[in-house]
Amino acid sequence: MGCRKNLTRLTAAERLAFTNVINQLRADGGYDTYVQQHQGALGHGHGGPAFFPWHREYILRFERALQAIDPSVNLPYWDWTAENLNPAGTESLIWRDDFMGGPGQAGTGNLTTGPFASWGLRRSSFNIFTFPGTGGTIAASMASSNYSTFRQIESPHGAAHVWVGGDVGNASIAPRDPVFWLIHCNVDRLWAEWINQHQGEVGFQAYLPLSGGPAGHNLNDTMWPWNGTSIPFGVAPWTVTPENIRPADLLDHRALGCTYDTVDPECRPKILFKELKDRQPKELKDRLPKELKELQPKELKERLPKEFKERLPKELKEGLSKELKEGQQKELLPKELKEGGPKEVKEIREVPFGEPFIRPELRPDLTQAAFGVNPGLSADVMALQEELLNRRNDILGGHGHGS
Amino acid sequence: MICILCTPEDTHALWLARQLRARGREIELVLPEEILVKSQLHLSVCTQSGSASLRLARGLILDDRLAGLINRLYDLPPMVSITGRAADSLFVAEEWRAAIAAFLEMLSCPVLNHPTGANLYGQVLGEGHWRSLAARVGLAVAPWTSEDTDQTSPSEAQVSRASLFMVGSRVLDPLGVFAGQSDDRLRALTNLAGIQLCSAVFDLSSGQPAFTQLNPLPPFAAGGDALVAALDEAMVEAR
Repeated sequence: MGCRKNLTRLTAAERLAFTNVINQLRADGGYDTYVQQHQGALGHGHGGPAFFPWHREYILRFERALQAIDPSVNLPYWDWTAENLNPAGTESLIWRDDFMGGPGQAGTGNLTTGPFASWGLRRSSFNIFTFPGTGGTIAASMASSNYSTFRQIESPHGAAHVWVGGDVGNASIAPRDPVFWLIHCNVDRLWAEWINQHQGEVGFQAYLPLSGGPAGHNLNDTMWPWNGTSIPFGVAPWTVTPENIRPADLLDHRALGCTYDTVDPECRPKILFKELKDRQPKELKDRLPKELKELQPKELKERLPKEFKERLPKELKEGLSKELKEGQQKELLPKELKEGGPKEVKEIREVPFGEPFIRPELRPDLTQAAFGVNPGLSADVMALQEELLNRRNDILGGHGHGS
Repeated sequence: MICILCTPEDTHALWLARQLRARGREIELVLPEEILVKSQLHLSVCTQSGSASLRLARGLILDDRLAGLINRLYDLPPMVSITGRAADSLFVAEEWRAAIAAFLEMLSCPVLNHPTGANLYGQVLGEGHWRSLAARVGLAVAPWTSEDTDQTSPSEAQVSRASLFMVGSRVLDPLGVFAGQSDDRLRALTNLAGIQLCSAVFDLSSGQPAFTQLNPLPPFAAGGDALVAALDEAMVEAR
């Protein structure tokens, strides 16, 4: 199950993988098709109820195309209602040279920085320390359980396009700029979050209209271009084998293999223990018997504690003291152990030391058995839940660092 | 003050908090994340005694002054080490699990349930294992084979199942279908398992209650007011 997370949570390696795979898709000739599809769907995927399901299917297919090149990649999202800066507020986490590049050049609007600098893109000359906003408008739409009200979010989404400007600010060519995918991943997240928030309510519909709406917009209508027709949009489809993709098939994001870090527990931010690395050598050193601490690296190598030896690969264990002395099999050792010195004590833990105490998959899942009778969400319980969710967000929002 | 360790998604725990507050009890809901982030944990172990104290970032202190603690700590939140190595992350997680288990075990107030070496929230066994223990104490047991996969949907299960609830030594029968016939044997089973708070699920499809499994994370709302009262009394009596 792919985890689509806030771009501010991407590691440098993930940013690199994401931009690399997009460049690779473009180099393979697979990118422009998506731009053309979006252009063809201006009258279908925009300005109507199908805006959300059409784009859900669209970005899902794009994501799968990326994953066909690099399976580790998932679309990140850009929450344009908040600043996306590092904790010190000194650096943008989106408009940077190792991710989306910066704003357009003053005057020309040309994008000259970042991994897509050679694409010939244009953007506005925006201030990277500001953001489009529109959070209030989105919150108001999210608060309603009526899909017709919720889908008004198409408007603030448009504001994000316009704020970036240039290619992505022009609906007919917007996907040319990869920022498009980050904007629409956020749009999709908002739909998932809205459904998750309201689905327990009486009469809730995750999508409307059920029927009676324009062709291609009813719950069970098939959508262009995947249905292989040019009707009613008069645009040649980009599909060989027609597929019946309906809004009804797209209501559950999890069923499509996606999770969001604001919706799905398994994708939520994890608590990061930054102190471990710093403390590790000292702690391990402190635990060593006095006589071992005083030993020179060479002697230490020969007197590894028994439990360390047990964690070593069999071939090393068997010949450790003798063969190490003779310099044999050194190539089997981790780099740090070859080099000697105190680091070897620290890094010996890199040798796989088995499974966690209780593997997560072996922990019994009692959620169904435990919660067979749902107590329901009365106003009091909902208020408590809201309070706790906010508290959790506050805790994890603090950059996810633990102590 | 009674502390309930739970997640925001645990609506049964939230329901219980609401019910206990309605009875005038001071309830503090504590998230698993609060235990880990910017908290201070003190464990003191001496020859004759020990003490445990956990100070949360918001200033709340959990120690022996608690009237009781209801432990719904299904698991700790996922943790990763900044080193990025899976081994380091597992190391951190297991160290935390051990520390929190020690903290819960060392509190002198009622802790429902105490952790075990394997689970933070109490004894958990597979259905076959539970039924084997239940048979040993004389409970009628529903047949079980190793091919059983526990795939019965909750809606199907609810039709033909009923639960007894245990709080300490008290057995509660909210549906009134057991007529006290299984009480002593169920007490023997929970004593054997070292569980103070649980629900025991019985299959009624044969006409006679047949034990299926024991759940240390009981669905409180199904126990109703009687369960809330029993929990409340258990905390008060312990003082």
